[in-house]
Amino acid sequence: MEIADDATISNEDILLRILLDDWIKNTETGSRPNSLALLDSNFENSCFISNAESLTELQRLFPGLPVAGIPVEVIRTEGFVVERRPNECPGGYAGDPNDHVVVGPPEPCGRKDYQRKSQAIVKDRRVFMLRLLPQG
Amino acid sequence: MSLSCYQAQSQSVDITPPYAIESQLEPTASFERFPWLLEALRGLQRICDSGQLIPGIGDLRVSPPTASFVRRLLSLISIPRLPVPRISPISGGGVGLLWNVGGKEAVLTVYPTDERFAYMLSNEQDELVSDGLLTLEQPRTLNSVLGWLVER
Repeated sequence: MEIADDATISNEDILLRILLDDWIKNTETGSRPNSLALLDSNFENSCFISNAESLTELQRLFPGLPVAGIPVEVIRTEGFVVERRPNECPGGYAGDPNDHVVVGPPEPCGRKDYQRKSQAIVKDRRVFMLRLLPQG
Repeated sequence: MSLSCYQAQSQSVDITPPYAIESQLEPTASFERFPWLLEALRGLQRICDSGQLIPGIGDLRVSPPTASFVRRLLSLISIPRLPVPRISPISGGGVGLLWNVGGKEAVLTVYPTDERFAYMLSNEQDELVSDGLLTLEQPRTLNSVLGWLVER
C-alpha cells in the first residue's frame, strides 16, 4: 500500500516506535534501535506521534517496553513519509486515534533500498531511547 | 534389452530405507560441527511459539513456510566458528538473524513475501559496507558474506 505524506505532521514532531527487547542494540554510549526495529515485510511500520496523552496511553498499553523516539525530520530526510492511520490504531487506545501513523516509502521501492533507508534512520544520532515505566 | 525398457525398469527401483536412516543422523553431525546451530534453531522455535499480532507494533507471527525457509538458510551456513545469531521477529511475519563479532555486524532478513533473503554488513564504525539480496541457491556467496565477520 502506498503511503501519503501528511503535511499536518511537522518535521519537529517526534514519532514513538514501540520496540521489542530484541530490537535494541547496546553501544558504548548507550543503546539504539537495531537494524530490525524499523523493518516490515509490507514496508510500513506503526508509530505514534509523541504528546503527553500518547505517552500516557502507550505506557498503559505497553508497560515496560522500550521505545525509540524518532524525529519526523530524520524520517523524511531518508525519503520515508508519515501517514495518519487512525483506523489501524490499537483497540483500547483511549487517546486520539490520529496519533497512530505508519512510516515507509511513499511509493513502491526495492527491498534493498527500503532496508538501507530504514537502517539509516535507526542509526541517526538524533534518535533516542525511552522505556515505558509500568504505571502505579 | 532395449534402452527404453532399461530406463523404465531403473525408474521403478525403491531406495527408501537406508537413505531415511542417514538423513536422521545428519543433524547430529551438524550440531557438533556448528555449535551455534542448535541455539539458533531454538531461537527460531522461540519466536515461532511466541509470535502474535500486536496492533501498534506489528504482526510478529512467523508462518511455517517462513520458519522452514529460515531453517534451510541456517543449514547452508558452513562456518563453524560463528557465534550464535540473535533470531528476532520482523514486523509483517518476517525473521531477522543478527550477528555481532568484535563490532562488526551482519544482518540477514527473511520476508514471507519474498523468496530471497537480504543481507546487510556494517563495520566497527557502524557504517553499512555491503548489502544485497540472495537466494537459497547461492550458498557460496552467503558463506562469503558471513565469513567477513570472522576473517582476521
